[in-house]
Amino acid sequence: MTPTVDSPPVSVPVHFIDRADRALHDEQLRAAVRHATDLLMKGRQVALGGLEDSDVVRDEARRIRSRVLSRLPDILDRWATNLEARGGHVHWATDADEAVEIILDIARRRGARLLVKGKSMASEEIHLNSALEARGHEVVETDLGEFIIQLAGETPSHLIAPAIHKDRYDVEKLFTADAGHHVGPDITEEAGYARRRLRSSFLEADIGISGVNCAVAETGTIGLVENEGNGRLCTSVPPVHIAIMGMERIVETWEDLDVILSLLARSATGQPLSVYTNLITGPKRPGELDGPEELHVVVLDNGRSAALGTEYAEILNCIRCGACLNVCPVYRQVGGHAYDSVYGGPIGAVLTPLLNPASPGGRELPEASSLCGACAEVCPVRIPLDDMLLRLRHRDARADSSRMRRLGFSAWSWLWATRPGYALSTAAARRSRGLASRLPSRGWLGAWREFREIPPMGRRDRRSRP
Amino acid sequence: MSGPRTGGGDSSPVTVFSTCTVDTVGPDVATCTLNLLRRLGFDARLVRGATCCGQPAWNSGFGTEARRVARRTVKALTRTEGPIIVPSGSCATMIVHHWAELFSGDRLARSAAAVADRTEELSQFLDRRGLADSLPERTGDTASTTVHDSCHGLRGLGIKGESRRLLAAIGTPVTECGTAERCCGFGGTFSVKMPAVSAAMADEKLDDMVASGVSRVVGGDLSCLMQLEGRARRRGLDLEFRHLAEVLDGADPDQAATEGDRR
Amino acid sequence: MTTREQFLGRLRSATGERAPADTTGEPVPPVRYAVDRSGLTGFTESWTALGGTVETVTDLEAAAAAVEAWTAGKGPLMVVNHPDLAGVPRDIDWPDCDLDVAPDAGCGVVRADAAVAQTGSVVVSSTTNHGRSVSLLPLNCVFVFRRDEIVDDPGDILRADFGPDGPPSQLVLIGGPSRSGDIEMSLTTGVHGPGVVHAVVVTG
Repeated sequence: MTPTVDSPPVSVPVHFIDRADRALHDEQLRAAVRHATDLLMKGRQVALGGLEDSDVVRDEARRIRSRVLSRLPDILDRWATNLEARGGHVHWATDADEAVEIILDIARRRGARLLVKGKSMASEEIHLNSALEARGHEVVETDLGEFIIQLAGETPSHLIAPAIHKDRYDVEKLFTADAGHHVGPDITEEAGYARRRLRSSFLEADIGISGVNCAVAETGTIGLVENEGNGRLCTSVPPVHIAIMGMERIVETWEDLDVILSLLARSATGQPLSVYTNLITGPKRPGELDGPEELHVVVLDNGRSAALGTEYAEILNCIRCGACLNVCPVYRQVGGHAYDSVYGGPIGAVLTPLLNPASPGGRELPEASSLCGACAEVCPVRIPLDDMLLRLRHRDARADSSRMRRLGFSAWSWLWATRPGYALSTAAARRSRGLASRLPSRGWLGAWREFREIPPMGRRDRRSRP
Repeated sequence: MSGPRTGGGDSSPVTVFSTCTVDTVGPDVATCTLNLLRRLGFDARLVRGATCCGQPAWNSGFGTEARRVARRTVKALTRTEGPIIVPSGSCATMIVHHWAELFSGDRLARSAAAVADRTEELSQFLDRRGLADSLPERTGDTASTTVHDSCHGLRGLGIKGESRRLLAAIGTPVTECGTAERCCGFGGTFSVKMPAVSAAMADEKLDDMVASGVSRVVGGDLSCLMQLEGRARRRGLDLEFRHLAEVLDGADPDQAATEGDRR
Repeated sequence: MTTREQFLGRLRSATGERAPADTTGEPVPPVRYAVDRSGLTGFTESWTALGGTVETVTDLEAAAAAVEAWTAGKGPLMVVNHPDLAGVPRDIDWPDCDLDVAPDAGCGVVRADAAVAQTGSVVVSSTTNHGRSVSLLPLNCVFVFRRDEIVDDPGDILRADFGPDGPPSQLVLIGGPSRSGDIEMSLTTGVHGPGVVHAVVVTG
């Protein structure tokens, strides 16, 4: 589907700092992000209070996920064998191109015209929609938020709230253009339009595509949680269901699944469970009237295995709840698009350099953090995200820093490795404060003074009045 | 964490590591820390020859440079006595939590570990030893006060109630702001690499402080206070920013800092 | 294309050198909740908090009457062919119908397998209900189940022994009406699945 609203192509700045700057001037975006993340964080806190001791459950979840990582090949093997025994087809994709090829093959074989999709970050990773559209297949996003951004020709800006940056008036314009008659801005009316509009797509679709939240090895099951019912429709109504699964999204047993599910929706949206917890084990069975005839699961590596066995392996424990985005003070100011990556916020700032080290985001996103540590504090599986951001800075600092920066740190270190160098430079800094706040300046001093004064030293005048 | 739980000073030796931020932008904080500890009966001395914990370079990914500087500080602190008190949650976190990795394989590794074992952040030190009750109550200090929880102190060292208990002990009630635990946007070099985002982060806290009707912001890290104060001044906001050591020491703000033994 | 052996082989070489972390294989303790919820009272509290409604009846005959009353005026009625629902009058009998008529139903009636007190969920599986559409396509949906089928926690469903055949092709825990907060975080119901859900609990 092509965007139905004609908007002039907006070029995306190459650097985070420029994209962030643009976001900082978008008051609607910032208000929307603040509102959404505040609500989600408040909900999370209440929902975690529903557990007797959420810290204990989080420790258990971390253990479960780490155990999976340490035995991932065996667990995937067992899962695939079990799913195939239930009639499912498992495909193995090393990279995005392979995953796309696998899905195109199925679509071609089935003569598919229309595909409906539930929310899937893995499908965003492989840029599935554009590939399918290029081959003449029509793809319709069915999650309300994803449908909105598909109409707008944009990409998701949040893991679980993809259209966080759109308000009812944006939706009014998009839906009115799509419908050919006026829709909105009443939110109930807009949601009602989406239900009617997308219902026919579900019924006509040749293939339904979904992601996978958590597979279970012991029975060959895939789990998919969602609130709208579009995921259940995608996986129940069309004759073929294709699920795209990041290779690490798996646990060994249903006991493990119980623990993960007790944290996932609580951390993500503040619900005890999502409205629909769909646990799928194979296609429909003999005697069942509905359900897909074919079930395909595409297991996606796409750079993940490079993190296995390294100090970053634990990032693969992520269950994609989005809590780290919601709590991040940087994400809060600039929103998801500033990261210009499938994954934004702290998880994106760690994942992007690992999955896509050569991309501009892979180089600079670890800098998009004040290392405040709020992300690690809320992570349900306790991934030390701030430590990883720091390690990534160490990994890339020398190669990526400007000559000036390298020389600056070097000179600083030699100066402050000596007592006189330190004494002289701190004394000079104290004495030149008045000068520094008056003279035109560049570099870091200029960057400071662009937005801030240099406060006075000492306690003589500690009021902020200029 | 080692260190005798003396309850009062008993003239036992303690060492104050002033930190580079204090030496560069707010030397009064070191003076106040020393005064405070001496008034509580400690034989408090400023470490001589220490420079910086290495964090600015470490957090930018420059380990070699960070180690080069921190080695000087390890050597200086190794020669001192008693608990090492740092008027900064951030520098204390660097020493306590990150020096092990920074000095991994270095011949100063054991010294660094010994220094880390002796290191405590100021409010942590006072609170752990139950010294709040030994602080003189101040009457007439009516400034409406809030606390900014610096990230590293809060999440690295678990400091939260310490500053509040100490402020309560001197008769200063704290007005809590909803954004107390949110990062001020300083983040070391982050503040100059991404100045606009950094300032936006400060703005949200400042707006909250103004809306909460407070007139004074107290924190345990001068770097955060510098960030918030620098931004508040640019915006012309009527807020006062004080390090916890300054408030606890209680010296008259108008009195020039002359009593301390600066190096 | 990559084969399973190639794919897993690469993972083995990536993880192989590393000692498995924390693979003690200790049993995973059940998830414990702050408040114990059980039985009809617990389910009612949780389910209504999610926006569902509940009524209790003493026997299957009364259940049929309750379903008929609740569904009146809500459009064509699609009912799962289950002995417990034999008394419910219907427009579409599932699965003894043409698949094409399913989307026209205004109201679905399902014999749920179980319900969960802690989370306010009803449990529906493709095995016993022989279908997914009834609890999915209509705007309104009634779930009928017996009081003694209410379990305490999700773990009582998830940790159950599925037997040699394993779990059904689709097992779903449904917690209230379909909902979305995708526009301005404002809650809207019925955006895709049923927007109005009712539970009829047979106590006798």
